[in-house]
Amino acid sequence: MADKFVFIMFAALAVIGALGVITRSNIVHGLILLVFTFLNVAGIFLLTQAYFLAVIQVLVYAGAILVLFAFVVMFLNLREFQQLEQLHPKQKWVVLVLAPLMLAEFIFVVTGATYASVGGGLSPEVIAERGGNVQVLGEVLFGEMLLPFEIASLILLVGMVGAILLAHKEGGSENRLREWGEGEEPTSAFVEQEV
Amino acid sequence: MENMNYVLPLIPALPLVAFVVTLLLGRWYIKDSAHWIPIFAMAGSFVLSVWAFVAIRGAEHAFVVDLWRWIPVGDFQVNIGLQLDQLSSVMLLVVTGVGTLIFIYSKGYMHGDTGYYRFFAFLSLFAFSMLMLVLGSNYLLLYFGWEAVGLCSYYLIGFYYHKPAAASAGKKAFLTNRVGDFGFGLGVMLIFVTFGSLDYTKVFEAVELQQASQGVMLAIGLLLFMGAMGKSAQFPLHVWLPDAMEGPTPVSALIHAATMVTAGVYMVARSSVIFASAPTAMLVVGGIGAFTAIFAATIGIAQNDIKRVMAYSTISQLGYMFMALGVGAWVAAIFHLVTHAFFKALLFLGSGSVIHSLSGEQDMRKMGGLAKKIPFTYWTLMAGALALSGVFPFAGFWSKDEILGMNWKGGGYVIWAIGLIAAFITAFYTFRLIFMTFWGKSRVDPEVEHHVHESPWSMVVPLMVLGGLSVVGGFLGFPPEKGVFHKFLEPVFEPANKILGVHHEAFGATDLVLMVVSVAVALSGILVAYVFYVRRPDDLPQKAGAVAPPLYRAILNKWYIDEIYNATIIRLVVDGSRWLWRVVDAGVIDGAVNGVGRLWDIAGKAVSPLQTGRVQNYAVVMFLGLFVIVSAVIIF
Amino acid sequence: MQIPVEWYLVLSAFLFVIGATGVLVRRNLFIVLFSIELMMNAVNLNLVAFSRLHENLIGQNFVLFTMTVAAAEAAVGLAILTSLFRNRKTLMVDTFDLMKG
Repeated sequence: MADKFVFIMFAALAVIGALGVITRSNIVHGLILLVFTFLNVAGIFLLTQAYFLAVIQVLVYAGAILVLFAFVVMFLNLREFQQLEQLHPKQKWVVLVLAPLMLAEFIFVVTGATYASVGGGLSPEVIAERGGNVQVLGEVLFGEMLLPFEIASLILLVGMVGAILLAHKEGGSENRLREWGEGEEPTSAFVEQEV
Repeated sequence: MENMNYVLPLIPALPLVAFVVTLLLGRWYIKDSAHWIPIFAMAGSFVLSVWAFVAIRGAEHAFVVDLWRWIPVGDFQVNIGLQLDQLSSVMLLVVTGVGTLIFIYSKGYMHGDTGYYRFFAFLSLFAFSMLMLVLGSNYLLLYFGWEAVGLCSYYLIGFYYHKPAAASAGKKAFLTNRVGDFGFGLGVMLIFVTFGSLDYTKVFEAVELQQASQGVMLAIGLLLFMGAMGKSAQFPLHVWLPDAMEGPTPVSALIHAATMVTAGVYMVARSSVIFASAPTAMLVVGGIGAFTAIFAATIGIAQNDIKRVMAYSTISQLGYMFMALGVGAWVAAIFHLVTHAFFKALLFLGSGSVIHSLSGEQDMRKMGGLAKKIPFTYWTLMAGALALSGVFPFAGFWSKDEILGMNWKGGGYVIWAIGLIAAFITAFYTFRLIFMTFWGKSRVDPEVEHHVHESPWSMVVPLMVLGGLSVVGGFLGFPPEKGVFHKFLEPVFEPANKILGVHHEAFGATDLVLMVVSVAVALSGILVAYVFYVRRPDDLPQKAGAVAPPLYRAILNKWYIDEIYNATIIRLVVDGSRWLWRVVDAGVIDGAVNGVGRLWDIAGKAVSPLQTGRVQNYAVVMFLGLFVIVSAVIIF
Repeated sequence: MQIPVEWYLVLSAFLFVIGATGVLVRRNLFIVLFSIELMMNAVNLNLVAFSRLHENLIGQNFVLFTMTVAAAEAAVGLAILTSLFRNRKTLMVDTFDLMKG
């Protein structure tokens, strides 16, 4: 009983957060709301006894990825985001009709099916017996799913290299180094150019 | 008779080989000696034809040699077969005999011409085609030969292809023939549909057994005659023959006098059984023949070109042959065909000799007084003229008189009268030609007069041979209806005569009276021509023309037939073609093809806006697609 | 199982559709990226729910991997965004239509 109540609370907050993300015109507001949503999702993970994942969700997703987003937001120093029209004038109608329909369909499919367990044998009691969620997860990760694990590391490498390459600024050192005279402040144009 | 199996195919084969060899080797190897092979081929064919003639004498049935199966398609079986009977043997002799003479003549006439070898090659091809036409044992081979001689005629008329007049004359001949051949083809098809075969033997048997209705026989007869009208230049398809004079004179002599134009007569005679079963068709044949005879004769009076006079004369004499066929006088028609071949070929070759000696002059108004200068030509032409005018005892008299006599005795008095008047006119224009060319004061251009000379022996000898035949050839048909010629050809026409119920009367008083009348008419025609062109050549012809100027103009302009055709049919066809070209071809068809191209262009441009370049738009479409797929899965 | 698995799936559906709407409707590139992350989270939820149903930890392992991929993708996406901003001085998505036609 208590589980259900907690679930509904987390779920409602997550949905509200998500709705906020897509509707706010202020990017930073959207970012914060996204963090909020993720935290709620982490809570739901806890409810499914996926303890390790809950923590990882907070640390990696909310803590690393969204922080990266925050850095870029501040780095780009946008000014005009509040003046312009934030939503597509025409396309939004199509989507606003389509999305609820899609949602209805999903719900229809999901609630209409019957679910039976494949019988993996790892009920919460067994997991607790074998040393807890982290332990068993680790066994599976480095046992059955070793190859995907290695490949995942490769993906991270590629992502790193790609990000560096793509964001690299053109131009040689003349752009960066400049002799500043005494008392001169870098002009705002120069700062703009830095970006 | 057994050897006939080998002899008969050789007759058309020799000219065919001559054609191939001369055409292939003519340009580089044979050149000026190109005449030897064709002449020997024709002479060889003539000798073999004589052999065949002797072999077939008195035979009751035709002798057929089946060479091989040509078309074996279900019910439609046609073989390459050659049929030898008395009729085809007569035609063989005419074609090969007169042909050989004309080939020899061509050696002299065409000497020095740039297309020397081409000329002989195609003359040989023509000989082959004509022989196949005559020897064929079924209607399809007849049709093949028919078309082939038309093709050679087109080619040889347009031999001087640099001259626009010659080229269009060739085209006119071919196209006019095509109109007739349309009917001919339909007739052949109708024969097959009715009788299930195209073989002469089978078809004629079936006709005798009266296996077809009157209506069908009439239709077949008329359709076949349409072809004859085209090929033998009867009204209204006669327009091509005068223009065909653009070709070299030997061509005019061989093709447009002696052989090709007689193919129509041969065809009707061959189909005598069919025509005998359709009396109305025979009436049509006779009527058109008579009309053509007098119609062409009137035009001949006013012509000034020596070859044109002869052309209209040919048309007129062919009309006589059809007059004979129309009344069931089959043998008379063939008889006239043979005698006409003699004297008309002679007249053409003689005219050619005159033209040759006058260095190319063809206008009779620029001739005159040539009798002493070119005696051989003069005397042989005189013989031909007398034969053509039907003067006793020359060849033409016998055959023409028999035609007129048969018409009278058959009750066709109107046709007899028309034929008689035409004979008068014939004599008139023939001797107008003789007098204007050979007698009286010389109106020859002084430049040309220096060079007037008799033609070489290669040209004169054939003239003399033909002249001799024109004089004595008529006796083959003496006495009328009972002569050697008639007895020879009797077996061929027996079935037709049986159907007609004809019986031969003895030579009686009627015949004698008619003969006298014919001769009188011919002589009076000559007399009138004498008065006009010898006694008072300077004023009488003009006065006569001035009596009724519109009439004179009409005759001079060939009764405006060509102009009428031009204004109506030709205009229609040409305008129709032009419309088809502009509207249908350029507009519809090109438009459709271009339109398809433009369609894709437009379609592409219409669809292009879908690619906005914005990823979000694409994403929306993807989402939409997802929705559709999920819905589909749900629903089904 | 106190909480029926359908509940998790319905929640996941909600988050997914909301995320999709954000991707398709917003013009600001940042928000688009945020919405994509939202969608990935919905998927993770799904995986975890089924992992619980089938009493199998494969689902949870897979979530680790998707998170890894999400991280890499976020990095690269942001790098592209930076590059775009430098060139075009704007982040309005519908102005990027060089591939038009």
